Amino acid sequence: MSLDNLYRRVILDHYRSPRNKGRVKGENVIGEGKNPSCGDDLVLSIRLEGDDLVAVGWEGEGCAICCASASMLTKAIEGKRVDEALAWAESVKALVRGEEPKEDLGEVEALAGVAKFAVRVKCATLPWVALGIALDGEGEATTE
Amino acid sequence: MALGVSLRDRFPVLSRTVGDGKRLVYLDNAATTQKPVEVIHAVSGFYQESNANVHRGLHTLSEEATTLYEGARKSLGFWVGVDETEVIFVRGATEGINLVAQAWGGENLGRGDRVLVTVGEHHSNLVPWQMACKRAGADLILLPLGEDDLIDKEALARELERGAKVVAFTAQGNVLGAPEDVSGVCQMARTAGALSVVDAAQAAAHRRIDRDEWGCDVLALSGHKMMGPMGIGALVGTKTFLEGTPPWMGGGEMILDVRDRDADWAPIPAKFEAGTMNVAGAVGFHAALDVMRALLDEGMEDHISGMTRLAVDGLKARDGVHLLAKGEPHGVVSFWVEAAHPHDLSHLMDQEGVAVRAGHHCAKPLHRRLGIQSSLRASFYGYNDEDDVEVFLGALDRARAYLL
Repeated sequence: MSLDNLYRRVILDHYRSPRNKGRVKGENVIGEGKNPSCGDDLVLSIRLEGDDLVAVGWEGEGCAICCASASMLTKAIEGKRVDEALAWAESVKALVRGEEPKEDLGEVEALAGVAKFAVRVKCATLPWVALGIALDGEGEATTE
Repeated sequence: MALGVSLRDRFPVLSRTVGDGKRLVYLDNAATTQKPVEVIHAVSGFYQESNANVHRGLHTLSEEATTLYEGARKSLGFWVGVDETEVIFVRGATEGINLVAQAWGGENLGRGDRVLVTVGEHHSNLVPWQMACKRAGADLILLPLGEDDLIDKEALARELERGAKVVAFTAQGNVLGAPEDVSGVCQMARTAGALSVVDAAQAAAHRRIDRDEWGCDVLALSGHKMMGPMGIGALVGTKTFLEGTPPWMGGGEMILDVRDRDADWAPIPAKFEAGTMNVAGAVGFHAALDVMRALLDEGMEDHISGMTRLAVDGLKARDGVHLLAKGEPHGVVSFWVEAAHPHDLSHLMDQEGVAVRAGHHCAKPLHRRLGIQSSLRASFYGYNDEDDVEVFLGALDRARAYLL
């Protein structure tokens, strides 16, 4: 199928075996993300100690792209400082817009294929928008 | 005229391909139908030959445009069995229902009044009532659906007994697809002294409506679901309702006289048609009704029933596929698939040329009650055929296998 670029192996792997699913112990920051047009709905669960994201989990429902993106997010930002995590979020959003990321995003770069499918960009960015909201202040993210 | 494949060359968009040269299998007809050449020509013909504003000029083009516009109203009035003055052109069913909820509701709903809708409503027949009830301090009650996906009449009787100002319901849900007993529900509403408002957006795409047989006070429909252009539809109300309801929007053409600080309203239907109307849309809608008449005569509804049954049987035969309808759907089949999100499936099926709807289909309360977030929906029309159903089922199987 010509969607192979979108549904890369690493994305399907994260979708089939999601990492860090569930709320983390000692959660003290959450970020909610909703996409009203498709009903995707997820919560990032974070334990912040000082400036460090020591534990990151997620729960919710969504398509393969959204769930894989959330799963990869938790792997990517766990152990990072708040400013580093926010910089990652910006880089990932740029990546799925089709821009060259400023840093090496590791397996998250698998999301680059989304750029060719405008309707799926919101699926990929939802967890990262939710992260920005969680770390920047209270509120709920939406990709509408 | 014959149905299915032989009809396709009269709907130009159906001859295009998608992806890498796949034939388009368009199964999102409940969202909007494709347009036949008659409609496309009527719209472009209006702009090429007769474009002018209606009711305003004494010149030839304005007169022609007025004749065409009023001809469309006459045709639609005839189609639903009402006097032409009872036909108000609007953008579509959504605008029609908003007109009723705001103009009639603003005047007639008060604190503690009760408005009945059903859990199966499209947001367009739910949110306008939420807004009106909030403004008035009225209560909105969502009636349950029975095992046949139709309004639970016992629940309706109970709620009517407690008093209700309005019963607003769909004549055929866009998710479950079961044709409602419209006349039965309207009869109960009328006996209880409640206004009956029928969302006919889906139903009107499948049959000729007889307003008096339904016995409703108001019904709303959308031209684009009946092969007509987008942005044109109608609110059909009884004379009593329309004359007793204040205008919704003020502006040109809806007045009889205007003074510095107040104005008198024009008689119906002009009272509800402020500003320049979608005249080309009305002309296209007129052409669509002519096509619809011919297709219904050809047996379009039996044809659609056949495809619906084929799709239902095919889906039921597959493990892990669950239909949303408990009753007998007509024209639409909504379902969900275990361990596969509708958006992924729909996107993968699109690569094979199959256009189906994924999401909540503007019916979130219904999906919530069914315990799911979203679903897939295939919906059929006269130009589809059994081959389309086979392609759809095959594409679904391959998309599921890909995600496993």
